[in-house]
Amino acid sequence: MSNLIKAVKTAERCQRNWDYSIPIPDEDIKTLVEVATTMPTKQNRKFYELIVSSNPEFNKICYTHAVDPYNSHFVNREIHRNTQANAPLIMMWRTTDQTEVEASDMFKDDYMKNYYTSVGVSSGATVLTANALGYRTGYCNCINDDTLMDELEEKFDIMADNGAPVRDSMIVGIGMPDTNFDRTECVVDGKVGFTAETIDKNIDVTYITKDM
Amino acid sequence: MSNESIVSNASKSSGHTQRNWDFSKPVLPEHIDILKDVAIQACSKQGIAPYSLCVSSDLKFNELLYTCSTSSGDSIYGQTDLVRNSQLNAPLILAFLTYSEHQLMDMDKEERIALGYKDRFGEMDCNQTDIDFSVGIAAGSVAFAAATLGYKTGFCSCINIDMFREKLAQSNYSKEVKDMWQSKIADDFLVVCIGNPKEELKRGQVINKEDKIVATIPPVVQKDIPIIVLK
Repeated sequence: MSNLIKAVKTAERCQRNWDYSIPIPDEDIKTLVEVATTMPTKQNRKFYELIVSSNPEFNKICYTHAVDPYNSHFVNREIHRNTQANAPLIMMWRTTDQTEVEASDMFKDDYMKNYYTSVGVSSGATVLTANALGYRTGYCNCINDDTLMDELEEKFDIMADNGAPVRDSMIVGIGMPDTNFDRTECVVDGKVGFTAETIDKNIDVTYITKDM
Repeated sequence: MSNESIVSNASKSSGHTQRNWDFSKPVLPEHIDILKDVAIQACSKQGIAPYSLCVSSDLKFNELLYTCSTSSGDSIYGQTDLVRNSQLNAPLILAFLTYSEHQLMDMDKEERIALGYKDRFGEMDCNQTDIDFSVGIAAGSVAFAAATLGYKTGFCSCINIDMFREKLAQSNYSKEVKDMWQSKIADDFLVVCIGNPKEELKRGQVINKEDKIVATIPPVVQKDIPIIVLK
């Protein structure tokens, strides 16, 4: 249980630099994939597919496309803020073909809402697990999906158009942190290119107990 | 059991809806604290607070919510209809409450920012994508953590909110509780239901107040998530 409490605290914060000399063992990857693929979805439907990569070239490509072209931060910058995507291990949840799902869906549910919620449920449990296993994690939902998928198709033979209604993806970077740097420092090839802010949020909580 | 086995079993457990509960074994207060911490510390984009959280271990409140789940009405007590959403009638619920997409779209950017839906850049406000991701991350984390602690879980978002608000208005709950659920922030929601199961029953069996089985919800087909692995 102490692992869980610690994991909750570290999972909240985005890790932006990595120690590539410490790879993630296959058995841990297997555990993370099992968690990611067995969490619930509405009526247990298939709303996403999963790409799991410990390939440095693949992960670097993901990082280079983890940009928002409409945000000035990413213009003419050698190292941008989303270095969490350049991790030793990345797990990418992406939209998937809904032909079979829609054919059997009597509720006619909205795909994108279910996709976002399901990816959240799956990735939330995966991130908590990774942190309980001693790793650090970082989410990245700022991705130029069109350019990323085109390059992945060209270089890794991953179908850009997989039959999904829209192109969308979300990445979680996983690995051990580079202890030479603070968690917020965005590091590529040993060089700090940006230091990200850290923000606390304040969620309103109401308790209802039988003593009320 | 190894850590790997524990987490693997936890995800398998939380992956299936528990539809009956043993109310003689409540969720321990220290576990409620942990689960609340998981819910409020889960990641969100730029630290936005995308939801409000209602934590209820009040069985009457949870039952009230359950009687308003879309497919039930009062049918469970009349034993006339199949009632799918008995997971709501749990020893503990954590409800993640948000504005509806429609309301957010209709608001001015300044209104959304005033509600806390703003990002660090101050130039973009939170959209429905960010909210749905965040609620999913938090709810998934809570369900997984609960399963790790040994509980069973279920999800539900099928509640007739107008019916519930009417019933809540007529109840003796505090103004704070009523205001939270009557406000527009509760127009959209996802509830995680947590507790110990009736060990003698299968997880899909629905029981009434007399512990009589009134329905058995068959398991849905196991999903087959496509996976690509690159090394």
